[in-house]
Amino acid sequence: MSQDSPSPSSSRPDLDEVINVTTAHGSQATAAAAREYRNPGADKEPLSIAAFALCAVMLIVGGAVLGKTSGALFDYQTSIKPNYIRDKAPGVADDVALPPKPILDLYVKKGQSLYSAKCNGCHGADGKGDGANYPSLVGSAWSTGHTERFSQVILNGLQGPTSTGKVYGAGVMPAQGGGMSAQDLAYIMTFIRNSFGNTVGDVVTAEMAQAALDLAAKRPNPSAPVTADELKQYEKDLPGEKVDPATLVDPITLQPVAAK
Amino acid sequence: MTLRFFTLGMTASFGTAWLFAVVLPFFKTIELKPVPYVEAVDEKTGVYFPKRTGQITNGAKVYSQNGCYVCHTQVVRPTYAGNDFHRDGWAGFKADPDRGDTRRESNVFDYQGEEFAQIGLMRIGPDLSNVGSRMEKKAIAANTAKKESLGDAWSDSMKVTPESLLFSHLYNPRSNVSMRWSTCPSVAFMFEEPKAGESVPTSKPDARALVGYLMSMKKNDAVPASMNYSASKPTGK
Amino acid sequence: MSHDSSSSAEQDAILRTAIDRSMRHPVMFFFTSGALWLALSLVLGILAMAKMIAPELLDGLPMLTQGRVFAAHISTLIYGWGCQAAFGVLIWLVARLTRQENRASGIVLAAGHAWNLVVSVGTIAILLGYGTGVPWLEFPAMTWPALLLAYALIAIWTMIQFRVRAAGEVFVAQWFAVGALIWLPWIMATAYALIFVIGGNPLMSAAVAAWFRSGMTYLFFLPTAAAVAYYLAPKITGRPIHSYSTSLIGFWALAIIGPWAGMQKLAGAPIPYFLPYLGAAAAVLIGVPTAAIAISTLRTMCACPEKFAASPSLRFSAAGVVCMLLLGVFGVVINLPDSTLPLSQFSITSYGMDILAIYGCFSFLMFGAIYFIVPRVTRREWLSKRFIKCHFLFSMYAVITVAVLGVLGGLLHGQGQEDFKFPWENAVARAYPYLIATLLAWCFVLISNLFFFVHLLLMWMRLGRRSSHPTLLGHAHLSNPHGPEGDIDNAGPGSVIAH
Repeated sequence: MSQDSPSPSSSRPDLDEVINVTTAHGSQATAAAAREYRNPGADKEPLSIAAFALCAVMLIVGGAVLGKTSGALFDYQTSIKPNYIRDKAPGVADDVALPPKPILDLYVKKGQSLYSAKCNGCHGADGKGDGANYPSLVGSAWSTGHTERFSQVILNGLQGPTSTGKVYGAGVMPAQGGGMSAQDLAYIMTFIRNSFGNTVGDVVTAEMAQAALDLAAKRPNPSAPVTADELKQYEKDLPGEKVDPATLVDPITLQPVAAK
Repeated sequence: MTLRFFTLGMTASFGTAWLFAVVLPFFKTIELKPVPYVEAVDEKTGVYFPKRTGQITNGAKVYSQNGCYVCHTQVVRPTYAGNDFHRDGWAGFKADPDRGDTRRESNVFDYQGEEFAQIGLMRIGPDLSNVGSRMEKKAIAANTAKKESLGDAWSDSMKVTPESLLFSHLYNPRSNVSMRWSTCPSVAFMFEEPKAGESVPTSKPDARALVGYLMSMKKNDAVPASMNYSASKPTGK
Repeated sequence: MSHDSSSSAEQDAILRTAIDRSMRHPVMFFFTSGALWLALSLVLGILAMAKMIAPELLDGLPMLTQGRVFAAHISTLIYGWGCQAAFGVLIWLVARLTRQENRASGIVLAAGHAWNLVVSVGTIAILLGYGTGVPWLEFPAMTWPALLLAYALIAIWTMIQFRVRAAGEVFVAQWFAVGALIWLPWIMATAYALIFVIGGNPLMSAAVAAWFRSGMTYLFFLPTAAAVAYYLAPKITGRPIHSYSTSLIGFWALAIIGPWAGMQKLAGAPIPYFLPYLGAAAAVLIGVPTAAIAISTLRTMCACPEKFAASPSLRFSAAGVVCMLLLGVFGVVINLPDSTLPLSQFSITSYGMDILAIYGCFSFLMFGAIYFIVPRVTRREWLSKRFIKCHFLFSMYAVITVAVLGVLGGLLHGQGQEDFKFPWENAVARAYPYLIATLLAWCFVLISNLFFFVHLLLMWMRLGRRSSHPTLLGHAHLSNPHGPEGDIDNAGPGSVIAH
């Protein structure tokens, strides 16, 4: 930077031949720094009433929002509002009812998925078994006959000859009753009795199935499979109120619905 | 204000929030605890601890890398926090032919298998919590309609899969007439070049991973009665 | 006036100059590279918003997928512009307030270059598809320790300056500045450690990410902005800050309330029930510190109306403080759990609030600081008051558009989302006008940034005016011996013939 002293006769000196602005004013400070005010700090005015009121309003609103935590503050195990029940959708019909269906159809449908999980493996998807190891359920006397006898075979398993007198290669049918609920038993029985060409046409109700479960539990040796001889004492239908298979019911609740 | 007061105040004010709102909840909720069934009410025993099916890790990564979370969310809020629950198909189905009302709010098990729950920033596009279920339903409806209209000419090879619906959406979101309004960006770079006559070309691994991830979003399974917040839930016989 | 004969004022001026000179390189680097990143983030933001409205735009290029562009836009805005502008301002501010030179400028400059390198790598990674998918933390996981290290090398000297300062009055601006410098590494390190290192909790990771976003806004950008306001208001007007007690309330309210906010963005998600409502309460209560800061600084600025009209720094600062107040008020309005929170949670209100906070409040105050600092650090004055005016006006248009249409309009967008009886198409259609408004706002900002960046670049290249008279926005004094535009008077006082 040039340090030439200015010539008094030039009015607008060339940009390049200049004296540094700072030295022109005789100090080592920039003009900008020199013209700054010293930081004056803060005064002692108190918070004004209007500001206080504004803050108070916001504190009240904030407090109300905090109230939404409704007793679960710092409760890390609760991840939903305590005692939450869903609101109904405003202006919309609440529960949509599915069209009612005959109870037999519904039981058969539900029984189908249970059958494919439990019974398919041995008795086959068509219920015919394989002729040598597993008996057929199609037209079988025990499957389509008295419900009590049929229920005990399913629940306890079978040892020895079947309704046709033949002994099958598998030897023992394992008990299926473990962990089975009465409703599930009712579904399976209804399904078998009304599928694969069987047309018994009746519905085994949960009430009847419960009676079957109770009966199985009261056997002298509940863990052993039944035999053809033992089954002779069960040649009757399960106790319970019979249901008209054509009754229309709600598909989900299985409660009878008046036809519209 | 002295330096000591400043330091103390900063530590206390920040430290309390840091500890109680960030660190503690993080570590206290890191383990998912299964929810036991109550036999009398649920009619079954055991615990509710669903596992998400399908390969979701790679798909979740593709989802994150392409910023889908900017416009899509993955949370169904309880009714006190919003109306997501009531919107058709978002929380489940109100009248599912098999199970009736399958709707439910998001629960802690819904984000398993992901490193970061993509709750999402904004809802320009719809919520994706149940997009898998919705696509399944759409595919079934499309197949039924096609079967009816074609009658004998129907063959199983014409079946529309839910995955194909998603591939079509990813390749060109506006190809479907009913979705012309969609502002979803097309991720055609995740597909090969289209051959003659192809409406949706072969997908590359990224697209397949993403579709697998989206199809795993079926958050409408049956929950234990203790997690069922319906006004008409079973209370035991 | 610059002809102060008292020697202590002379000493002050010399000390200030020495401090400014010691910081020239890092500060100018942060400002200029920050402005460049701002320009880039605006281009990306405009592209992202345009693609939200017209998705066929530039379709087919994987690097320009909307999601990636949006992630890159936010990341460059925050880490490229926001953090760098803040660093430049904070290190200068604390140096001036503690009256110490910064003797580690070389290291700070090198760390600044490192920060830029990491941000560049991170942005390219996002566009190539290696983003993490964590909002505001999209840079690949390994970049965060690098950023924290660079930050440490930038800020440690400043913290030392604060520690060893001479005893005496502690200025309000200092608390906010040091607070910001302490809070940033804590929230960033916590988020990094919990989400990327420890992990294993997808839901709480999302909650921590939301807490981090709020922490960046309220515990880094807001206090930096407040520090600038509390420094410039008394400096430029020469009046003391109105009400020390109000400023004290402002600082401690922010310190106590700020760290709790953020998780209201996850209301309804299966995280511990109380967390989102605690966050919502904190977000509402942020109104208290913003009101306190706004009241004390605005009353200081308005005590001197003629300075207000003339000084660009003061004008930008005042606008920034007004936006801060607006931020607080909107925070109360949009976070009410039963009424407005479901509307604002997933609508463009959240993006609009981010823009209001980062651009309206923080950036305006950073511009005010930059217009004040750069002449001192480069020893040149700004070249064109028209450039400054254009910068200000276009930015104002943008912020008003975003504040009204983006934030408030977003509530209408949210209402459309909540109307579950109508198909989703309706909600998307509702968002359109507000998305277009946000796009327009960013276009205004891009125009204003053009003026700013060119102006700043010229100053960085030392092409500013050599003058002892600052570039002011009002009309110059008629009796100014330096001429109406503050001409060069290097020939010495009185050598210029008045014309």
